[in-house]
Amino acid sequence: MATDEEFKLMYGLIASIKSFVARLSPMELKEGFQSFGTDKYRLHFYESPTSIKFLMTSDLAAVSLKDLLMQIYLIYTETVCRNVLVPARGRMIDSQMFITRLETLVQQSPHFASKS
Amino acid sequence: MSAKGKAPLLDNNKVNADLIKLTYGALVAQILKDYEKPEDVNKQLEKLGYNIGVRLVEDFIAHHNIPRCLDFRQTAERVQQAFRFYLGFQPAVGNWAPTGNEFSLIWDNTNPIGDFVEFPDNLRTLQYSRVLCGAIRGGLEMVQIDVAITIAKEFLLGDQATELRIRFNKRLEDALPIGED
Repeated sequence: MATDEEFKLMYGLIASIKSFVARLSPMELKEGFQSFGTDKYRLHFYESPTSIKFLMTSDLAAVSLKDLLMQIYLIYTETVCRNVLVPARGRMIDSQMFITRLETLVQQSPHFASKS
Repeated sequence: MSAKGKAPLLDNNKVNADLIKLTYGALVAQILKDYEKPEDVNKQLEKLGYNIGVRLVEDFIAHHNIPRCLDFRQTAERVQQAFRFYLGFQPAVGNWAPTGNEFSLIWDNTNPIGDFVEFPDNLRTLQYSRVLCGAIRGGLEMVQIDVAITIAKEFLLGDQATELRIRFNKRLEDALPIGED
């Protein structure tokens, strides 16, 4: 599947789950949809108040990656948002600093080590 | 005691507030040279502020771990807080409309970015603080709040305070791209 198609599909999936989850809930949701699991993997979701969406797949051992995704948001603001040369939204992130810091963060995460 | 709230920022990553004020003044002067009409300058300043706000809000939320606001009063507090973080001292929040959808940010006897400004009489339509309005509007738009902002009082034009009036328009909904479902 083309990456482009995959993005669209994922966007649709997230949008649908979000609205579905909100409609099923008898009460006002605070966090809303956070992750779903299959027998092989888990998909984690975090949305900043500014509607930037962060997604990550993991093995089943990682129950919640919300903190990790929030830290990624922090890196994003520091390396991408603060760079005035990058358009604010809607572009592929090609900042080397972002990638390096992201890799370091994820590899240091306890969830990363639990693989072995 | 008089310097309270104006302590110099010793953090290496931050710049002195006076430097910002002087730079902004120079920038306004240059835009005025380029565009000539104060009305056009106001538009440019609003745009400038908007672009600042759109990015600044990400920084603010990510670093201070700000949860979503539940009502407009909380929003007002957050805006106030943001001013403290990024401009060094905060405005007062007041003059709430009875309906609760309109408030003012007030800086008594000062303009937060206009310490070194003297206004010539022929430029009275120039809105020096427009950049602040733009920044607030841009920031709030990113968190799905649409506001309209007017400058109610301007210290630089002889008023007792600088007052920005912020009116809640509507909540913006997450729009799906066209053709997606």
